Order: sequence, then C-alpha cells, then structure tokens
Amino acid sequence: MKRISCVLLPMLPLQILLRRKPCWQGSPIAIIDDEGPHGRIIHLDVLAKKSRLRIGMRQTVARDLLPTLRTAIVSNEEISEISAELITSLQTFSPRVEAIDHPGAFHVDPEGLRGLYGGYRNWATCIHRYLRARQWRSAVTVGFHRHRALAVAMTHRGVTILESPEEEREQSNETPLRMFGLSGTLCESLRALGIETLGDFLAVPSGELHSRFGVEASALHDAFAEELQLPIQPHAFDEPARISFQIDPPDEDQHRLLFAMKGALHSLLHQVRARGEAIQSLDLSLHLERAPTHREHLEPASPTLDLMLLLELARLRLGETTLRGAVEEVEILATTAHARAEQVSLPGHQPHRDMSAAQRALARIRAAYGERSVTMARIREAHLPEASFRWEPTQHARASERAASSSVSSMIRRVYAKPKPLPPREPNEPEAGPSLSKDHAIEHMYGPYRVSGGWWKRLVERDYYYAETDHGDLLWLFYDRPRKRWFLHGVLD
Amino acid sequence: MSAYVPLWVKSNHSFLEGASFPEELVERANALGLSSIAITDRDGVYGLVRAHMRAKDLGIRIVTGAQLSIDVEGRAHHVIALAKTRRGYADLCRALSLGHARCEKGISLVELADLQEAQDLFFLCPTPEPLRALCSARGPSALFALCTRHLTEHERPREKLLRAAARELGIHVVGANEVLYHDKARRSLQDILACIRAGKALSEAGRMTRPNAEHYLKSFDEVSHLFADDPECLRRTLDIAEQCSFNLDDIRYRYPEEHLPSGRTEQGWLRELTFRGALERYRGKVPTDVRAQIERELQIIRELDYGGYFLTMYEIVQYCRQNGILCQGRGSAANSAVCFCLGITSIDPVRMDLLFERFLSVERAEPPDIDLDIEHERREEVIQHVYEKYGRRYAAMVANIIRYRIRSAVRDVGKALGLSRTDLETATRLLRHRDDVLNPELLQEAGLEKDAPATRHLWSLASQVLDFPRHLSIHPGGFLLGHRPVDEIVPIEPATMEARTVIQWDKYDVDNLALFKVDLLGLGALTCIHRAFDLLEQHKSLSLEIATVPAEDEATYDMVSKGDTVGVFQIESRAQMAMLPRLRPRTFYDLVIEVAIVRPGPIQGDMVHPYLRRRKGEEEILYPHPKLERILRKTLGVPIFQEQVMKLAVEAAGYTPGEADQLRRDMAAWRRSGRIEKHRTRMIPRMIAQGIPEEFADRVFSQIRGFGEYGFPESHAASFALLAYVTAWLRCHHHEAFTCAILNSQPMGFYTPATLVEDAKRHGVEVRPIDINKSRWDCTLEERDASSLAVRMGLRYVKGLGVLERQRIEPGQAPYPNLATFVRQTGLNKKALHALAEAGAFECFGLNRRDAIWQVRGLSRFVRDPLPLEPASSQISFSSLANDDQVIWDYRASDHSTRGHPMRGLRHALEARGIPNATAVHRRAHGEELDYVGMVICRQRPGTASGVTFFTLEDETGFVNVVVWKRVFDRHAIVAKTAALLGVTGEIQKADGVTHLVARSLWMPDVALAEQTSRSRDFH
Repeated sequence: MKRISCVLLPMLPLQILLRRKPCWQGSPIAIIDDEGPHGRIIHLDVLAKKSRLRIGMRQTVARDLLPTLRTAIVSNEEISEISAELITSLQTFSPRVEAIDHPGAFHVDPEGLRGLYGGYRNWATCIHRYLRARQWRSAVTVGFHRHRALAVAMTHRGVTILESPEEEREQSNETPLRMFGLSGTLCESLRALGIETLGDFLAVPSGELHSRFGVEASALHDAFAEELQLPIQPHAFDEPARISFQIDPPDEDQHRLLFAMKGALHSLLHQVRARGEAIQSLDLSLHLERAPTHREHLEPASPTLDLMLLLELARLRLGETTLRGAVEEVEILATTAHARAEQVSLPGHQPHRDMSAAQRALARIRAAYGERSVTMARIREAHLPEASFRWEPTQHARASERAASSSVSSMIRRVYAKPKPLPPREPNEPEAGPSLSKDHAIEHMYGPYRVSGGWWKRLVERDYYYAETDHGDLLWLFYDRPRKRWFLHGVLD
Repeated sequence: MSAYVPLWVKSNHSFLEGASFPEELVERANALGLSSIAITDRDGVYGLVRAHMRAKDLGIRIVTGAQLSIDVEGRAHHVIALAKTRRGYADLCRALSLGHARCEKGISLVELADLQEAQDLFFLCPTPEPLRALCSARGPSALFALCTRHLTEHERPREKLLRAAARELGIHVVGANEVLYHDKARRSLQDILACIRAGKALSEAGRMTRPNAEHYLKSFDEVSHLFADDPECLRRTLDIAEQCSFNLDDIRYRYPEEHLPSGRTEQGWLRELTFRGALERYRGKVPTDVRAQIERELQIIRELDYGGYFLTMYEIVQYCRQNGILCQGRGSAANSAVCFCLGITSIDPVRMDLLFERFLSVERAEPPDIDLDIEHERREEVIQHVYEKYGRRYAAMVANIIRYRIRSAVRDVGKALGLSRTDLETATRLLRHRDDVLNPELLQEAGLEKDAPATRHLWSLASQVLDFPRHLSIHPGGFLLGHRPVDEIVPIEPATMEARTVIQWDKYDVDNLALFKVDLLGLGALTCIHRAFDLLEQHKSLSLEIATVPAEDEATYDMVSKGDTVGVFQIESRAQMAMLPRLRPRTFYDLVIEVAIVRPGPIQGDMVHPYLRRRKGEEEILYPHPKLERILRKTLGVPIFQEQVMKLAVEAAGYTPGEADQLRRDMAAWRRSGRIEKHRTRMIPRMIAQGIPEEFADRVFSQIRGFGEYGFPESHAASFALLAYVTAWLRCHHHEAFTCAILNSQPMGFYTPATLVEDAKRHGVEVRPIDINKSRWDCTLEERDASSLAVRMGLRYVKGLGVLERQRIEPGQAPYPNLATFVRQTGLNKKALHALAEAGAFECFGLNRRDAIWQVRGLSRFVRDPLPLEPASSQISFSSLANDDQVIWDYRASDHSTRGHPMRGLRHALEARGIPNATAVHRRAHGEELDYVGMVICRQRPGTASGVTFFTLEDETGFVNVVVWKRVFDRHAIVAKTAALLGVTGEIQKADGVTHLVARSLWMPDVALAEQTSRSRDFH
C-alpha cells in the first residue's frame, strides 16, 4: 500500500515569533491580530494559556491580567514566506512536497526513499533532525492516508511510523475535533452533541451532517473517506533563470566581456521565452580575480525579450564602472515576469509623444547613473517649504498633466535644496535685516510670513520675506528665530 | 479703555479646535485691559455661559456670537455672526438650530434663507467669495469684510481681493484675528487638538494644523502694529462691540404656562390641585401643620412665580398615572408638601420633618430641582410625550459635555504624537479613570522612556487637555422647557439617539443661568415594583400602590436586619448587607439612614462607626457645640445627610446662606478640582474659633469632600428608602412575585439572574425551567398548589433569542403536540431552535437536549416548505446529560439554572476534603481558619477601602463575603481576577453578627467544573 507522510510544525506563528525574538523564550507570549486596543489574541503559548488567557481575548484585557505577557503580530505574508522556505527545505528529502490547508503542515511523499535512507523511520528522523537543527519544532508521521496522517501528527511529537491503516485509523480517531481548525460555532454545536473527537465525528453519517451542520462539516467528513484520497499535489520547483560562464583567461576588457555576455544572454532569453515569460531585471555577478565579486542590477523600462536592449543597458552600466580586477566568471540571474501582449504586438500608429521612447531613455539614464538617478517631485501637505514636496525615484515617465501653458505669466520660485546662510550682521535681530554680498543691497522687503512648527521634534520658527535687490533680483529669504540668522531659501524669476 | 475688541474668538468649546477655556480667554482679555471680548464658538454657543459667568465676575463685557458655516452657492464659508440685541441672539440660535438640523451630528450648515428674517445681527466675512451673496441677502450695513493678519503667505493676496470686493459693494472693513487660545504657549495643544479632530498623527497632519502660533489673544499694541496701515479697521471693532449690547442676562426665561381650565389662574389652579391631592393623601382630613406648610409653600411659589413649573411636573406625573407608568419624584423636591400632595413625590415632608427651604427659598430664588424617576422600560414614552406636548422647538434635552479624563487624554494625545498604541494602552490601563493628575512615573512604568521628548510632550499636553470638552452628548433625562421656543435661548441640535434633540448647554450652564430643568430619569426598581404589583393583582387579587404597601412591617424589618436583601433596592450590595445586621433597621427612618450611611461621604468622614456605637448605646451622644444639637439630633450627633453638612457650615463655621449655597454647588461640581478645597481654609479655622474640636472640624470637612463625590440629602435618601422598603416588603411577603418581577425587569440591580434564582430557591420559591409549552416570553407565575405559586422562567432568558424570535413565538398556539409542529408554526431559524433545544425547552416533547438539537437541525431545513414537515430522516440517539452537566448547560444556554446550583455537583468532593458550605462557614467561630470554595458572583474594590477587594462567593446554601487585602490580591492577581470558581484559605472574622472570611491565599480548586457557569458582576 502506498505510504504518505505528514510533517507538522505545530503553532507555526508562535515558532516564527520566537525565532524573530529569541529573548522572549520563557515568557508568556500571545500573537495578536492588531496592535490597537481592540486587537485580539489569535495564538497563545502554553505559559500564557496556563495564566488563564484565552484566544479571542482583547490584548488589553490580557495584558491587564498578565502584565508580563509579550504580544506581537505575525503577518500572513510572513507565514507564507516561511512556508515557502520550509517547502524548499523539505524538497531536500523528497521531490514531492505539498503545503496543505493547515498552518505549518506539509505532505511529503516518502515513496521510493526507503531504500535510500534505510527505512521510513530513518527518513522521517532525518527530516525531524534537520528541522530541529534549524530551531523548528515538528512532528513527522508516516502513514497511509493523507488526512489521517495529519490527524496523528497533531497529537504526537517527534517521529511516528504507523505500521498499518488500522493503527492509523485507531490513533487518528482519538484526535480532538477542535484541532482541525473548524469554526468555533461548528465545534461548539458538535460538542453539544457529545461529538468531540474525530472518531465520534466520523461515526455520524455524512449526509446527515451536511443537512444539519453544512458544508464545513461534511467537507471534513468526506476528506476522511478512504475512497476519496487525492494524490499529493507537489509544489513546483521555482528555479530562477540563471546562466554562468567562465572567462579564460580572466579578462577586464569591457567589449570582450560584453561579447561573451551576448551569447549567454541569448541562451538565457531562450530559456525565459520557453516559460512564456520576459526579463524584468538582471543581476550580474562578475567574479573577479583577487578581488571581491562585483555586482550590478539592471532593469529595463518594462519586461523584455529584446537582446540588444539588454546588452545596451549592460554596456552603459559597465561603461561607467571601473572593475578592480580581471573577470574570471560571469553569473547572470534573471528575474522574470509574464510577457505582456505589447511585446508581441506589431508596430502600428505611434502617438506624437512616444512614451515608450521616454521610458527607454529613462532606463538608459538609470543604467548609466544608477537606480535612483531619475526622480520626480511629489507634492506633500506641509507648512515648511522644504517639507511640502519630496523627490522620489521613479521608474516611469509620465506625461505632464498641464494641458497648455497658462496665458497668465507668473513667477517661478526656485527653491534651494538647502537654505544658504547669509553673512551674520550685528545686532543679529530680524529688524536689522539680512546682509547680502558687498555688491548687492536690498531695496525692498515684503513680509514677514511666519512659519513655525515641528515643536515635537525640532522647533522651527521662520519669518519669510521677499526681497528686491538694487540689481532687480527677487530673493526669497527668511530669518530663523531659534538660530537668530538669515538664510536665502530661493530666488524668483 | 481698550482700543480694539477681538471679534473672532473660539474657546475650547469649539470642540477640538479652540485650546483655551472660555474663562481663560476672558481672564486674559481682562489682563490685557480689553473692555470686551467676543465669544464666537464654531457652529454654536457652547462656551458662552462659562465666558459670561467669568466676565460678570471680572466686569468685562462679552460680545455674543458664533462662527457660522454658511452655504453660499454650494460651498461652505465661515462667517462670524454677532448678536446686537436679544432679538438678534434669538435669530442666531434659530439659524444655528436649522443649520444643525440638516446635518449629521457635530456639523452645521446654515443657508442664506435661514437668515432671511434674522434681525440685529452683524456678519463678519473673512473671505471674498461669499461677500457678494451675503451683501445681497443681508445688505451692506449689517455686513463687514473681516481682514485677518496671521502672517501667512496667502493672507495678503486674499485681503487685497477682500478689500476690493468690499469697496465695490460699499462694505466696511474690520480687522481681527482668529483667536484660538489665550496664550502663545497653547499653540502645541491646538496642534494636537487639530490632529485629534482630523484623526491623524502630527507627523502626517500636514496642513491640518495652523502654520504658525499667531492665533493667540493679542494686546492692543500687537494688533495695532499688525494693522498699522489701517487703524480705522481696528477702531471699527469698538463700534461693533458697542452696538452689540446683548448680554445673556437679558434672557428672560419663562416656564411654559400650562393649559389652564377656564377662569383659573396659574396659582389658583395649583392651589386647587394641591388641596385636592392633600385630601386624598390624608384621607379627607388635612392636618393643621400640613395645611400650614402647604400655605407657606404656595406663598413662596407665588412670590417666585414658579407655579407653571409645578403644574408641568404635575402634568407629567398625571400622564404617567393615566398610562400606567410608575414614577416618583426624588431629590430636594421630596422636601415639599406641595409636591407630595400633587403626587410628584411619595414622602410626607411634614411627617419626616424635612425642610422646605432646602428645596426652594426666596433668598436663593433658584429654580426648583425636581428629579422624576420613571420605570426604566417606559421612560422613552414619557420623553416623547414631553416632546409631543410642548413641541420640538419648546422642549429639548440638556447636553452632557464629554470632557477629557485622564485615560482619554493620554490615549488621544499619545496617538496624535504618534506613540505606539500598545504603549499607550498599557499606560491607560495603569491610570485610574478618576485620577485628575497625570503622574509621569506611570508613563515610565508603561514602558515610555522618561526623558524622551515624546514622553515629556505626552505628559505636558495630556495634563493640559484634562477637562477640555471633547464632544457633546446627552444628559440622561434633563429637559429644558420654555414658554417661548427654546431655540431662541440656545441652539438645538439633533442627538445621536433617534427622536431626541439636545441643546448646546450642559446642566451647569442651565443652572448658572437659572433656567428650569425637568429631570426624567429611568429607574429599574420602579419597573420591578410595577410588575410585582400587577402579578399580585393578577394571581392574588391584591391591589397595591406604593402608598398602600403596609407600613412599618415587623417581618420585613426582621428580614432586612439579617442582611437578607438580595434584590432589594439600594440595600442589596455587599456593603449594605454587611451594614444591615449592625444597624438593624426597625423603622422607616432607620432605612433612610441605612441608605445614606453606606456612601463615600459618611465613610470617608469616618461617621459610620460613631453612629453605630451611639445607636447601640456604646458611646455617649455628644454634640461638639450646643448649637449643633438641633441639626444633628436625628442622627445621634453624627452628620450623615448633605443638608446637615450645609447647616453645620452655617451654624458652626458662620457661613452665610449664600456661602452655604456655594458650598452645595461646589459639592455637586466635585470633578472641577479645587472648588471644594477652598472651603477648607475658610471652614476649619472658623469652626475651631467657635469652640468646636479640631478633630471634629477635620472630620466634617473630610465628609464634605466625600459628599462631593456621592452624598445623599435626607429627602433623597427618604425617597430611595421608600422604594427600598416596598421592594423589601414584596420580597418578604411575596417572594415569588418579587422574583418574577425582578427577573422580568433585568438588567437592573446588583445581582445576576442566576443569583436571584438561587436566592429565591433558598427561600422556598419553586422556580420552574424553561418549557416551550408553558413558558411565555417573560417569566410568569404558575399555580404550585392551592395556596402558593411557582415561578416559570421565561423565554427571554434563552440566550440567542431576541425581538424577532419573540415576534414569531408569541402568536404561536401553545401547547404544541410535537417539535415538528412548533418548528412549522413559528418558522424559527436554526440558530434559535438550537438555542431553545440547548436550554432544554423541548423536554416537554420527551426529547433530551442532544436529541432535540439533532432533530431541530434536521427539521429547520423544511421550515420554508408549504407542506407539513417531514420527520427527521434518521434519528441518532445521543446520550442524555448527567445532572451536573444539565446545570452547566443551563448556565451556558440561559445564564441560570432552575435544576440545581453548579456547586451541588462538587459538594461531595469538597466535603471529602473538609471544605464547608456557606451555611457552615457562618457557623464557624471568630478567628477560626478554614478553606472555602465558592462561585465568584461579585468582585468589588471601593475607592474608600484602601485597595481592599471584597469578593462575594456563592454556593448552594448562600453567600460568603471574602476580604482580600491588597498584598494578597497582588500575590494571586491572575486567579483573583479570572477565577469563576475560587478557593480561599483564610480566617473567620465575626462582628455584630456579620461574618467575613479574611483571605490569606487564593487558589484554583482542582475539582472539575466547567467554566461556563456563571460570570461574576465586577465593580472595580
């Protein structure tokens, strides 16, 4: 009879939390769903349970009861990420691993591995030891039925090898129903009837359950039906597109390197195209002779299969780079995305403004000057002039929203990235006014416009003025009250 | 004389915008030498009374107004409206009421049409956009363009446009800044308030906060510097203020005139009704002293012209009577023979020797204060009657301004500062709700870094924001009624609660302006009494009213003296039960004292033990001064009632009646810290000078402070004592009717239904379980045998059944022959059927609860089928529940059990370990050590008990009171806070027939008992 195994990491969110905060070991811990006062407990460790805390309790109530309680959030994303890592780890022991709909539980196919490991027990023990060495608590059960094996893993620790389906049935029947993650209402309703274990539950006819307790109950019941056992749905290996090649003898000439890369990129594109994908970014690792590896990240404007474009980006980047040694090996790792329809579309009518050309140009600038070299201003709601906008790196060019130039002429205020201090003057009071260079004098001042705030971090108190110089320049300056100093913050033109 | 008047000033009663109290603004204006200041709160006149009162003290003038949000061409614009005259003020209030009526709570939008008939108002418009529309609507003479100079960049260009528009329209320009705080230092608090209002942290508030600190109240020098280019616009503020002569004192309030029978005057009709009532009260023979008292009261009422108020109260009471709603006046009204004869109160003040002057006096000339308690379930009917009778414009409820207390201050300020929510929650848990000072060490204890700027800001700003208004709520029952529309006195807003409207002033404002208020309060005890009377009439043909319940009944006092008072109004708490065997009430007046003595006032003033000792003859009755004998004779030389304290202040400390009245007000406004304390320095030295021992003087003052929180006047205690007596009499002589009534009046009182049921069972009342064929929605009485009745629990106690289920069950045709018929006829859903099955309601069909659950789940599929139900396809037989499980299921399904007490199942195991039941505990000797296990029904930590927690534990034989000292509680905190079933090791303490178990340790009993039995009622 075919065997199946279940690897269960009980209370996975708590285990994740303890790995994140090992110093919490030995303290009562609760995982909550929200940091605010209405946040509720969704997982508890044994110590917290012993202190009479309960799942569903509000964290404020729990902390009131148990001031030493440690609380944190473990997000679903974090759990998914860890689960993905665990799948990769378990794939070391079997090519067929399936994450099942129970937190921290995986089915691992042991078929064909008995000979390799000298028996199922050795195989299961290897998995258990492997996980323990990485600070994961786990239960590994080798049984015959996917759900029953999980049920046994829920109530056992370490390694359990079930010798017969009967033994598996007997042991799994003892598993309390509440461990199957059923909804609270269903659990309560069944408990009211005295149905508390899997065995009690399976003794009730499935049809009767469905009509009385709904789909959730009948689905669980059906899952244990012997004839409905599904085979393992193994998780696909998720290999990134990658290629590497040796340069022999090591070389630092960029043209020759690019030429060598051309062939490799061609193969890589072939590989990516075969998956129905396109290259979103490239990570180049240039292993140098007697120097640390040099790494570069390249990103085209949009996912592409265009070899020449990728080569051009590489050329631009390497052109700006001085390598600290000869390259002896090149490794190219491609991050991919599904290819979009535009990539296969035929050339057609191009609008007057070619945004894709702009995107390509920006990509070239980024390739030449670095990823953060292209930015755009984002307006923010703030009183301080320098806080009222922010430069943010951008990946895409955007058409200006201004339709046409306004017929009303207005002045442009060019704001300095950092206000320039003006020469001090005695007495250094605002009434004395600012002093400019020897050749300039202020003829008129307009203001003040007072901006103050930031008292909760660093107090800012400025009196802004527009100043007109004898040369006709219009300056924008301020008197900084806490620092008792004049600054030039911009000019108008 | 000041050379300008700030005309745009918002106090902190512009909720979460203004950052100074109205009083602070007035005081600063006075300090700056300004002769007037406008108060123009946002969309209302919320802070006006406080400003007015302070301005009266300081002798400066308030220009009355408000900042309106006016809808002009579909956009809301802020415009300041100032009232020139009483008429203008009335129009302003009316417009604000209309503005609020069309918006959701807390927002107002006035339309130009609302101002069409408004006269005598000035409008100041700070933006150019609505100027033209306003000018067309109001004309240029009532309109001013308001130039503000807060030194912001966009102000100057806007001013240019505003001035140009004003020139074009022929409108004058006036200069004033928007004042949000009296002092520049409040700027940070204003930022915080803005963030709280916007629901953002400071770091993300952006332009939600003001750009600078220029919104403080400026001196004339500062303002004249700002407007140096146009001094005329400042001078104009003086002209405007000069023309705004309206003052809140101009409000001539008149109570609504009742509809009088033809040919009767108000006073004559009141007199006639009073004497008609007196003849009824005194069975046709009004005693001479009563007649004299009535005449005296009527004379005072006539002099004060308060007849209308009494007639209104009479009308409300009559409405209640006609509609079978039990009500009773309380408070100082119980001092009035007129109120007694009109049926407003039930206490005979002449027989009780109560002072009418406590209620009304010509010297004080204050409006009378009558609180009317009404059956809590029917209070809304009375409230809606008042609205209907007087009209929405003539009657509105008084507001309750929700203010920042220590916890809300820390939570909101901390959030605005961007502190971690978890830290803030921890900090607020450490704070006590009643703390009025924020201790910085507590913040540190909560994990906030002591010297971190954020912590310092939190401490400082949360302290500053204490007592700031946060939002408007509704007073539990206070009504303002007017002869003229109320919305000409104060704006009316819709309340959150449906069909309620609320004015913009709270009860202190109403008091300060001497406006009449009618308090209609809900009281569960009256519902209970009413239901009990109905049951007695129905089942025993016994017709009773409060006034006809046999007085001074020995058996009732015997029961009360034993502390056997579960469910008895006012004297059922643990503390009262412990006091009753000591005080041993034998007369109604003893009950009055009992009600008043177990209060923080007498306890904190250490008045309880001297009174008890004197009552038992263990201590000589001495008066600290011969003058005080008259005041304290009734209470054996110990002050217990609020009015005694006031009289003491007059007699022993030489207070004038005015000072004594101020003392009473300061006691009532206990939360406004400092107001009581100022009497200490005044009172104690004066008492000592009169030859009163310092220790007594200190004690009296402590009691005054205690009364500040909770203290009863004698008349109030008497009103409550009457209800206490009636409920005690019902419990003593008709326990089954009392139990049925109180179970049907829940939620009310101190105990859970489970405890009430257990108590009834212990007193021999048969309580029968829920049965679908016998139970009604409410609990009912059934014949037990020829001479007694049993209580049948009602379906209302099945958890999960509500109004909808009631509507389906009540028209059903019980008894039902089988479950399928019941399911078909009622069409209840699966959840409701399951709840009934779990509660054992289908046992009448021969089904145990599990079988019933299985069946109803099957049958509920066919509820919507037009054809008769199919029998269940296959009946699986489930095991019946064991007896102990039945009790546990009862608790889970209905929060009580008629089948037994959860402790009964454990008794065998407990006895085996030598653990006694409650009855045995009470038999043990003083000083004996023992273990006890019981269900926690109450945890209480009174503020007066220095950290001691009192537990009431219950088993199948009765209660055990456990005293847990703070150190013991802290040592066993988790068990103490969470255990439903608690083990106590301790020592018996016996005194005056009262037994307490003083805990040495607390523990979780290791006997098996499911947790889902009873939840305790905790008061921390």
